[in-house]
Amino acid sequence: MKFPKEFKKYLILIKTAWLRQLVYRTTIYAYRFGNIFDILFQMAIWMAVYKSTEVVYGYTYHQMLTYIMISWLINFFISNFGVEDTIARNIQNGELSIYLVRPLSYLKAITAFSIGRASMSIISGAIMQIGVIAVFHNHVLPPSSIWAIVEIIFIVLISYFVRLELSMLLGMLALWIIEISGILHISNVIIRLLSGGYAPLSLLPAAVYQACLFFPFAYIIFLPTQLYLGKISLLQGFYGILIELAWLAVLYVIIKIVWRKGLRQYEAVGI
Amino acid sequence: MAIIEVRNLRKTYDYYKKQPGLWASVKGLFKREKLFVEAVKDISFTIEEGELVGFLGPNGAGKTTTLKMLSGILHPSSGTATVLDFLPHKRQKEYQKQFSLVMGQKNQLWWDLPAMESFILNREIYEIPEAEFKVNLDELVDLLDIRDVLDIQVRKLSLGQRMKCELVAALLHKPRILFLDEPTIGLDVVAQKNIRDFIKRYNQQKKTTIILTSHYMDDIRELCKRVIIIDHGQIIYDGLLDDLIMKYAPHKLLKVTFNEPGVKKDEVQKFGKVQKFNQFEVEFAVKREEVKTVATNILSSDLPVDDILIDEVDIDDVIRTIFKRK
Repeated sequence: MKFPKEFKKYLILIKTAWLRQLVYRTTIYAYRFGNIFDILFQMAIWMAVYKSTEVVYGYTYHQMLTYIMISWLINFFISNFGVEDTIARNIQNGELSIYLVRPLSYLKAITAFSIGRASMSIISGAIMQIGVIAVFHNHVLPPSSIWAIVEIIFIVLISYFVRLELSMLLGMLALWIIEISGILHISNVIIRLLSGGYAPLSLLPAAVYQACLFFPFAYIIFLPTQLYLGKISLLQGFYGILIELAWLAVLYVIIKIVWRKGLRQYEAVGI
Repeated sequence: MAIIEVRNLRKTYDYYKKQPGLWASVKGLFKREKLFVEAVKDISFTIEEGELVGFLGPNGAGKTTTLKMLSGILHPSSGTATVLDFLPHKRQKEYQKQFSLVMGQKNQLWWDLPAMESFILNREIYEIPEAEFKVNLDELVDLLDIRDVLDIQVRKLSLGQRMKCELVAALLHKPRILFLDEPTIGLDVVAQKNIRDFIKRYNQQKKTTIILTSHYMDDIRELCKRVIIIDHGQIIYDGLLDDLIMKYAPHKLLKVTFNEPGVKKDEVQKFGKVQKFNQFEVEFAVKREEVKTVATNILSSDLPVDDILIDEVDIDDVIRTIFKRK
């Protein structure tokens, strides 16, 4: 009966994350406002662009606005709201020690906590999302097929964890580098850009586009939006899922290695 | 069988010479100068079950490093620490469930939630059965008298209340060993005393082995029969607190106050070594065995004695002399 008890620890952590979120109502509202401005701003830009042209890099007006809307939604679902900051802070002020002496895995705890935060955001963001979709429903296209939606849901689920793994790796940099906030900020912008979170990757130079397909980034946001628009087939989507799963595993192994080395570093300098 | 056994324990930290700033840090990834500091050099000691031992030493002496090795946060550079037959740095759950570490400067409680939520989380983390949890919680809450603050956000509590809650969180799983790293730091005198009284009573009732570090001599004097003094990473004294005073302070203090018109310095010097002098108050340092004689001599002299007081040398002073001598 070892497993259920272990599992319960992390369930309680998810609950604690919820409780903490509820304390900070203002933060929740502020985030949601930020989300809304994010989408309105992007929509406005693209609407302006399409005033003078019909097609941009193979995207019609409706396709582009759909892309922006879907990538915005996905970006919202996979957001972990600064796990890298939490890890970096725990390392810098030595609070990591408190986790290390308790019968609990720090990285699992962080994962549980992040799931708690994300699920709370998704619930608190539901009304906002429905609102935004309602406002723009005349400008966006329906999904290419119901099966595409099934694949997309699956992909977004994996994407959440891939994104979380990337955040964890970024946060662990704090074990080696003291001043880390600048790196975190630029990294997050780059990750979103390379994932297709700002605009379709096809807008990027061909070489960068190819590189994005090799790295895990493209599968986080770009792949599911392409599926939605029907620009790739379900089979291609399935291959994408396999590649993303492979990255999920690879990143997991990298985290394990980096964490083990990092803890040795943590010990060596006695933060 | 000793509950804690430390043999030739060493810890060397390495650190880099680092210029401040982001760019310098990035540069530092490629080229930097490595330096070493020996935080703990070859220390050995054993602690029996139920003891309450005080770790004493100035900042940076190696106290916290030692506690961190005993609790498994740090891996010793060499030597061994065995606690409850476990090697702490392996971080086995079976070991972690049997001790607690409380650091006065770091909190395990969730800052933005009532303490109760952190207690519940610890119930799960330490896999404490529901019934046992209730009994332990009730007992601790009553002992520390904090029932009315359990539902208040931790960040709104006073430092003293927060430390009490930290102690509850640390003791819910009935650890056999408790490491307390400066539990009274920053507290006012009353709060310090409350915490101190609690630690004392808890140790007596539960026979929990406690290692305590503190900068406040009152803590040590009140709580610890045995002290281990560490300086520059080495143990310079390990024994009873009373013996420490005997050993390092072979004399007592004799404080004499005089009435008008007071005394002159050369009038009193013949009685013993004068430590402090003013016209109406003189302090002598007198060998223990000579205290009575000297006191009698002063009283029977024709000096205008008003009062006479025999005192033990202040332990702060003893410790200060020890550290100065090093």
